[in-house]
Amino acid sequence: MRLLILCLFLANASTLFSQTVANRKVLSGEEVEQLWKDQQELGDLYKRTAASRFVIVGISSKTELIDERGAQQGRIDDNVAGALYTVEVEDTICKQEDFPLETRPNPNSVAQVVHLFVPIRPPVEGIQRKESLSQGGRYLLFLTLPDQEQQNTWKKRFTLDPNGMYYRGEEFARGVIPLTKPTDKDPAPKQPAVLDKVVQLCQAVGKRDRSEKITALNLLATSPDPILKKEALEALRAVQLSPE
Amino acid sequence: MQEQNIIPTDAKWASVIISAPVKPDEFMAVAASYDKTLRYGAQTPFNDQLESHWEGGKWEVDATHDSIITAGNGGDKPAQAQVTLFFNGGTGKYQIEQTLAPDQQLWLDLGRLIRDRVPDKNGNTLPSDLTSGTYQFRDLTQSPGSSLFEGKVITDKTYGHAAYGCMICCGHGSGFMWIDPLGVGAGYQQTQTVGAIDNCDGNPYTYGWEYPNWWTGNTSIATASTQQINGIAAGATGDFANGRINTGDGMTYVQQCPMDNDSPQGDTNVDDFTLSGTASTFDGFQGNFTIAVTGGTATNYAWSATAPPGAGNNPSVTFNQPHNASTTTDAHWFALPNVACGASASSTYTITAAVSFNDLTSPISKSTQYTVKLPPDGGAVFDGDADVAGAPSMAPDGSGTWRVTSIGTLHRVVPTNKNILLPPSSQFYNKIDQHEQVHLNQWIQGPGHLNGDLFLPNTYMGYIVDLTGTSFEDLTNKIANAKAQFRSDQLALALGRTQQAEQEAYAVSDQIAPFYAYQNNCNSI
Repeated sequence: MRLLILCLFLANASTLFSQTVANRKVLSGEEVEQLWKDQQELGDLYKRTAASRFVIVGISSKTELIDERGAQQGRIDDNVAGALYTVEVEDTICKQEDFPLETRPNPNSVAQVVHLFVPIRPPVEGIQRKESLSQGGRYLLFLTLPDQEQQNTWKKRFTLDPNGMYYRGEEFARGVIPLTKPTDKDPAPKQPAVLDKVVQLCQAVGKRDRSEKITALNLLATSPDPILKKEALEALRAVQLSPE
Repeated sequence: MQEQNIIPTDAKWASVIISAPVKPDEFMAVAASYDKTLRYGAQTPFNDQLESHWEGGKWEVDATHDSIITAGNGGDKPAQAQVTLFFNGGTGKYQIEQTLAPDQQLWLDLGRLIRDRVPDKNGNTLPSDLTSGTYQFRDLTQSPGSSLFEGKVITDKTYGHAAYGCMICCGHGSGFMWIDPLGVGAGYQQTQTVGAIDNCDGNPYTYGWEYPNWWTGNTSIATASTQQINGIAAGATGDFANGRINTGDGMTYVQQCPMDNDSPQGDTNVDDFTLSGTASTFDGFQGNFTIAVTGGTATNYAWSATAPPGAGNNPSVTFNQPHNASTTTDAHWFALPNVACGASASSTYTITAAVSFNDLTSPISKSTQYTVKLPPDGGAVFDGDADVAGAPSMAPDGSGTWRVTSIGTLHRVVPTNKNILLPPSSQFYNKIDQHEQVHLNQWIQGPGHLNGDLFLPNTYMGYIVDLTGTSFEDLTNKIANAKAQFRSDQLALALGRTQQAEQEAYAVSDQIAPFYAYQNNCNSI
């Protein structure tokens, strides 16, 4: 019974929290942990997607340590300023220009490789942990592109490529969702539920024609999946509010 | 003329040049010399032939005969004249060399050479009982144009007879390029000369000095200077020379070695290759170098590397395929200057590829620079990986206010990953690995470990235990904010311990070789 109730929390947490816990007396640590995990992955899906420059699936192919420029040499680990992750893009699920509030064409919409730079300092950014990717790991990534001023500051201070473009995870670690890698034995492993939902949402939002987009979102809004339904309705509102 | 002081009175000999505006064979000059009584005299025709190789007939020396041999320089440059006397059926050889200025001559009285036991240039003397032999003149100067003329007189005391002996002007056939085809490396030079068959002995000799003009068919492939071909770029072309040579038939005593124009030609192949490879990498990684042959046929490849003088820490480059056109290498940083602290972080080797070609006697080489670097940092353990994970138990009280009720699944998470920039094959890997292991150990919970008191769930509980929320969601948001504060406070504590953390780590890694660069007392490398 408890497991059944927990499955319901796969929906947007802000909605489900109130629905699910209303009649509960005590939530154990395990239950709270699961709720938080679901909220972390599935909550605010439209908002997080719209805030991302890209939503991609990719493999983390390389991890490098980045130093301060002109750092004192000959120290084993005193100069490290951050980690640079190279991600080979398998699939671009969403592009920011698909969203109604984003009108700029994205010059990197066909990027094959993206770089995430995660500075060590400040040690804490917001309520989320910093992004961390394991080399060889497969991820669903919500990527934001820090503004030009931030990019320039990084390139000036750290040993980053002056011509590079460096992303962060949307809400830091929240934007980095580990996926299961296909194997010969299991070529289509079960993936976190967020993957399928964000794919469906982005397919609807990504329609180029406005009327097609509205039709697709309306269809998604009839989904029995409460999360998809809620996110589709939110997307519809944004489309309808945007100028034609 | 001597009596009139036109010629010095003490002059014993002279070279006489007579010219006249006549056709060949229309004018004959004869030199005659008589004693005061005009009873005894000798005559000899003027020689109108200059040659670099003369073959003479029999000379005689005995009680009634003597032979006098002369050779003169009829050219306008000094000539290195070599006279060889052959005797005992050609088994004996006596050689004299003398540099002759223009118009100068050498004079050999063979009777005197025998009687006075005059040694030749090799210290040999003529046998005292020697009575006859043959002789040869050669010009060893090797400059364009022949310059030697000759003369011989045999005197016979029996009847007071003096006989002039003509030599054979040997001459030689048309020239051919001595090395054909000629191989030369791009950027290299190869000596070339012209060969020709000597018309006296039928053997080939080199006569390149008689050809002042040299060129090639394509100067973007090869250029030519006197007796030298210079490789410019890979490809094939021709090499050419031109000169005027004596072409006598080697048989006629009548001196007929006319100067003829001659232009031998041959083929030139310029061999070349390009060398490419890794310009820079970090210690422990790999280099790749490749030879691409652009001209010629390679027969062998050889790789070598050198480090600057004074380099320490055992500089070396290992070529994994030492005789292949492509090879991988290791990457071993060396110390220059050879000091623990203060050596450059970049060490640059010179990589040399030597390629042998089927038409070259020695390989041609090219070099490139190969820099092996050390990164400013060797590795890192991210303290930010530390956390308290899981969740507390939560419940609403009787008034509906949500509270934290117990520690739930909260548990400590510590860094477990050593991020090491250099690969395991790096000479510094173990040093850095052990350094970072100390940092990991510092996070083991409990006393004796520098950060063993950080990120404890109970400490975190102190941040959240008194929080309340109007709903589960409200309390969750407050806990999230408290978590951020907790993490910030704990990491600040860890940061404040950095100096001690490094001292502990360097105390271990400083004892591990190589004792360069990443030592605690190194302020800079």
